[in-house]
Amino acid sequence: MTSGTTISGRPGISVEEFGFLSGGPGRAAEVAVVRLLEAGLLRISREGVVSAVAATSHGAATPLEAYALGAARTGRMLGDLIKATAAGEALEALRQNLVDRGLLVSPGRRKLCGSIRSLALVGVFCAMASVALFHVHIGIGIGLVVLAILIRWFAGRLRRPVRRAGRRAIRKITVMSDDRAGIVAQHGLTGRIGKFPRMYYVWEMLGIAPSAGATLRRHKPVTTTYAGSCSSCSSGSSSSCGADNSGCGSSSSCGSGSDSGSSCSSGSSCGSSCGGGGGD
Amino acid sequence: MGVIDKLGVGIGWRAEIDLTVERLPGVDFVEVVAENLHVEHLPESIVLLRERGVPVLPHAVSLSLGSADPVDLHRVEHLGAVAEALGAPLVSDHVCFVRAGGLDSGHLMPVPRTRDALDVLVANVRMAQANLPVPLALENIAALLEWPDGELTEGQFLAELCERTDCWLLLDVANLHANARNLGTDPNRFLDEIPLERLAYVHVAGGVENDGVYHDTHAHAVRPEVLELLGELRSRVDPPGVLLERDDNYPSDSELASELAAIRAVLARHG
Repeated sequence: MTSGTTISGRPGISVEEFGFLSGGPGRAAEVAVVRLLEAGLLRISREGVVSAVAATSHGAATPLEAYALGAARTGRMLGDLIKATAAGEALEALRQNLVDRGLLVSPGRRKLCGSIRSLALVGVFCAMASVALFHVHIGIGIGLVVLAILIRWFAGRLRRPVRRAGRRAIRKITVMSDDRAGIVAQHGLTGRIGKFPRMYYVWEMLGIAPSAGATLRRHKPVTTTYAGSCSSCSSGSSSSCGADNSGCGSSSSCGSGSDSGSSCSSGSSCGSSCGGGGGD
Repeated sequence: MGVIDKLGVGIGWRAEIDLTVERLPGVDFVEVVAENLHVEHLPESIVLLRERGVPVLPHAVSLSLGSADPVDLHRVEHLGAVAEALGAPLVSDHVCFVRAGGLDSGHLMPVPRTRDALDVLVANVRMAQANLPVPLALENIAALLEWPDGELTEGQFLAELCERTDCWLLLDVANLHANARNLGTDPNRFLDEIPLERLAYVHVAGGVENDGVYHDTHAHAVRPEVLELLGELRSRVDPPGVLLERDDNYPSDSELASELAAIRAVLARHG
């Protein structure tokens, strides 16, 4: 997948890819959502409800943006939308593209390395047990423990999500101070920028209201699913990659509360398409 | 002169578009769905608008004043509490029922236009008025059916309701258009029959027509026919306020601003 967008002075890597390499799938999703907000295709409320301005994905520059736009069609909390986007098919395609280009470690390799690390840990205990229970020479036992630790360390190095080429690509990128999407990709919405003591969150720089920014810090599991352009996009937690997972918390509630006994859960009751009911 | 001398042109405040409502130019007043507000935790945006001096009018959808069941006074009290918290000069609901036999319809259902049904409605409205701190305005709804054996036209029904209860009218010209399109009612006759001096303000909303049926969706652009009806109304009376309702599929800020501008233009053209 190519997004067609480039990050400040770094052709070949899109700002979404930069976000992925810098902070994982959540960071890439943040970039997509922020670009849509900046383009006026999404709007965000004070409370953090993000909704699509247009009813189609027209205007989205990338598949990830199109996915986020579709996921926001009915209005979702900012953190929820980012998490859902991070778990969607479009982001999986972005990940695979980075893997194919040798910038990201494949999930299979990461899983294998994780298994090796676990086995190495078991090896450490086995070596210690063999000395204690079967009177194996302590020198051999120490040697086996050191070997297992080395294997575990090496597998840990290989398991790091971003490959050397990816890390090199990130280091070469310079984000300009007016490149708002680039700043999001580099630091994440919950990252802090500025100089001490005048530091502030990236979401503050973007003009997002504090109550909306607060939705990024909630870490409740998301149970909602989006069945738009993606067939199975349960918005569970995404795998971590890179420095952090960009703090994409969520809240499934949306908008202001409604009277539980109300005839109309939100907004005014309108529409007259059912059984002779009236519109207001 | 109505319950409010002049409201101007406003828009329905919804949580999804709170920042849009705040920054739209020339929003003279807003309306909120009362059931969506908690008096103890008013949305920051609403508080901000009140601090700016923008009138915020609570609009209820659940009193079910046309229901044969007695009015739920908890709902009335909540509406009154919201009005007091917002410093609102009036509140509103609909001429309809939404509940019967313990079941909620989820829609605004039309009331049979019989004298018996009017008696029930009048009793419920009086009960609500007695428990509200501010005047009550009632809105005409859009319906896809009319109950049989109606004894009064909708205009006559509303006129008598106003006369017997001293309530105010919240006139929805989009609903007027919907009923004209779907039920064949005559909007001009409706306007002839209602007491225009009891007009509190006006609703304008968008809709869509599918297979010859007009749907009052509040999720589409306002149709020219609805603006024509607003013009017809304006040629008869200067309404204290006109409010644009949009509840879903929110367009861009500029499109909403254009719709408000179109409303202003109609009011100016027919003034």
